Amino acid sequence: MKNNKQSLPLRDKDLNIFITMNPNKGHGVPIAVKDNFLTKGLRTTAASLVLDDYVPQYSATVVKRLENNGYWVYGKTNLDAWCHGSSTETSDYGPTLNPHDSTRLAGGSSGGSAAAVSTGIVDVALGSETAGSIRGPASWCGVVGLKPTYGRVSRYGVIAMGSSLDSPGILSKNVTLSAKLLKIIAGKDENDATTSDNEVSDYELALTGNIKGIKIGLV
Amino acid sequence: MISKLANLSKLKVSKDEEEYLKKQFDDTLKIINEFNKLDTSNVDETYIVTGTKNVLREDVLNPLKILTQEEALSNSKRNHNGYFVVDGILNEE
Repeated sequence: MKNNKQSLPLRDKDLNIFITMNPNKGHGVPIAVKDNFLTKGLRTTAASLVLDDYVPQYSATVVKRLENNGYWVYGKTNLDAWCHGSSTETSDYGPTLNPHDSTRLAGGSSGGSAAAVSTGIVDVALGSETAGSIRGPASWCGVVGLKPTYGRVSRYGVIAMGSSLDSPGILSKNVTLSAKLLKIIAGKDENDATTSDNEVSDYELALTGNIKGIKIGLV
Repeated sequence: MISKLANLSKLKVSKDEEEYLKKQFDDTLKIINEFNKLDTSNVDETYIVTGTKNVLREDVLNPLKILTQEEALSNSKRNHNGYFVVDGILNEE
């Protein structure tokens, strides 16, 4: 399951978005997955040469939930090695460049996922955030980044940066898609004891357009 | 401080790298000092936001989480008769 960059469209190669493509074309909606989520049978590196030939024996809970809901993993996206960074510059496979200006970076650590959505290769991608790793690259690449509350989404099968802080989340083309995906990936997981028992809302239904009384943070 | 940390981590750090890291540490500490300026006297300490407490489960095997021997060895560089093969760490004598 080695990297097969020759088969990638030019755009991917130029920007260095993916580390590994899924050679098995699936049915349903393609989703790009940050390369710190374990994918059974598909190489997972966390952008470190230490894991260059690591092929997981099981998939992360969120990957499984997406596959059970009609999504298939299109490819594994670049990130800062072990998520340690905010630009993808620390990736052992080289940095991901910004689709809007390839003299700049995509941000990080979920930079490959942000660029994959920004270029339109996929509409949705999985990312993970400990302190800015979804919202940062989403902002740099002009896509929607959703960092759920800690414990809302299972960390099982996600290579950890900080176990008491890591939040798997979504980078997507628009808010509706993010809401739809969050409903699928959120919720209690018996394999992650820190996931919350709170009921999963229908986030899509909550998108009424009414923002009265909502507190907004501007950084 | 850098050389002490490098020593504790058993890492070799050159003079140039030491200067580079020193600047990075300084920058990080500057940011932390910005946080220290915040008045948090009226803010309760937060340890966890999910409200979960002492999550326990029965000590039973989950067959779905058991790897076959073949799967368990699938990422090993060397194996023999179903075992991992690693370099010896003790001399035979």
